[in-house]
Amino acid sequence: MPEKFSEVTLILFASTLIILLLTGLIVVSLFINQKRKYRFYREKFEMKTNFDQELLRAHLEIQSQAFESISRELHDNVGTLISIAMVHIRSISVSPTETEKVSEADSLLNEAMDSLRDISKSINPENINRLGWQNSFLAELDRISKTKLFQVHYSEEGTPFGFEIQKQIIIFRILQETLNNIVKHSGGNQIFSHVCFKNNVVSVTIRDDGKGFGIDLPREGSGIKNMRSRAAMLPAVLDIESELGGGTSVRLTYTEQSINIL
Amino acid sequence: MNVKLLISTLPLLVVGCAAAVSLVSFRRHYPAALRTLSVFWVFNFCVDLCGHILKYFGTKNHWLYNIYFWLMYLVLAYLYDGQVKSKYVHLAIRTFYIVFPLLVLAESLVSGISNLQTSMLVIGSIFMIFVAAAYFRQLYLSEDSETVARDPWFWFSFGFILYFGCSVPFLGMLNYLWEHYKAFTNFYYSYFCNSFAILLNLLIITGFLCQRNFQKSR
Repeated sequence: MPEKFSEVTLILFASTLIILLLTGLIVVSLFINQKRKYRFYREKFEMKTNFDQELLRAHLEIQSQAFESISRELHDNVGTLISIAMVHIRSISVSPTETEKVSEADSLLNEAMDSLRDISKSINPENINRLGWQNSFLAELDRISKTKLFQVHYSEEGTPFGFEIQKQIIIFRILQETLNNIVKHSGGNQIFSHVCFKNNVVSVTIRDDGKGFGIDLPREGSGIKNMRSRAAMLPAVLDIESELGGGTSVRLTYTEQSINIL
Repeated sequence: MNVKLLISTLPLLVVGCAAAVSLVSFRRHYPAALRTLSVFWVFNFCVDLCGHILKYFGTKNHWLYNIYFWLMYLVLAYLYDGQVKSKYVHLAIRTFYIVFPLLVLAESLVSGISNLQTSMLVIGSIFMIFVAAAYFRQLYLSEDSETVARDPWFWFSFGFILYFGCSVPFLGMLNYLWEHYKAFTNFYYSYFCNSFAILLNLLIITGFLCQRNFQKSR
């Protein structure tokens, strides 16, 4: 009987202990697996983020080189052709009745030359490097103002501060794309831009009085997508608000970690 | 202080705490499954309280626990039906809905309702271990990045596997042990089974308090 009792107790305690150990093992392995999975997903996410950033950087680099090439071609080839045309026009001997037409042609060529120069400067990365984002933005506003299609208003507050030139180029490209979108799509007459420097935050708001677009737009165009990916690269916050018939407002807010007061 | 009284009452207190804590699930946005489990756990406490009162007055309470366990296994199977995504486990649960009541009926006819129906307890417990293990497997294979410690059903399953897993050997031999080794059976039940019950309820409390953000997951 005592033997039977010890057998029974052995079975009971042994089976309970085995189940306890198995349960503990399952739970521990679950936690270890979770940790490993979490680490794997984190690494995968980091790799994807790095890859996306590299892709974007390469895309921007290619774009920058293309812009540089176009700017050079515009200046060297097209600019030269217009200059030669102007020389020919000025050297023509015309009758008094056709002087006005020739003067008008000369004036148009002059205007074309100025526009070409402005466009060439606005897309040339070297120029942006030299002027900085704010002056390049002002030059862009000036170029749009000269077209007489829009009345441009600019205001500024706070003390400007400097930061890495690459980031300045990205900010300028976002603002340039915004202005291009206003010119192409808004159908408005006024552009209001406001730049605010506060502590280490720069905030640029560009607003138009155009037709706007509703939030039920099926998908964003490649222009806005580019703007968002560039803003994400900085990183900066890009807010786009629009209302049908109520114009569009674009605000870019960038926080700089290390400041150089200008 | 009567040590034996304290040992037999302590699990009841812990069940009471678990029932009280489970009422936190009636906050907004908690899933229906947690609220159902909370209601069931309050019911569990009431049954346990009645069982203790009956025992105190020297009345046999096995019939009460028989009815309670019939309900418990069916309710837990229903709750796991909503948590586990595997179609095979769903099929197993549906089969359990049919087979288990038949087993209960058969055992009630054979051994009556006033004696503890150990076969029903063993089968039910094994099934609970199966569904809890199925849920663990689901967590293991899940691609969800949220930590398992914030999943209430992880804690519940942990508790059920521990409690039912450790109870099955004892319950399987209960009638034999009670007939031949009454003192040992009393001792094992008082110290070991009650400890597992306390552990189960502590894990139930942890599950209800694990702070998963149900608002975010809606």
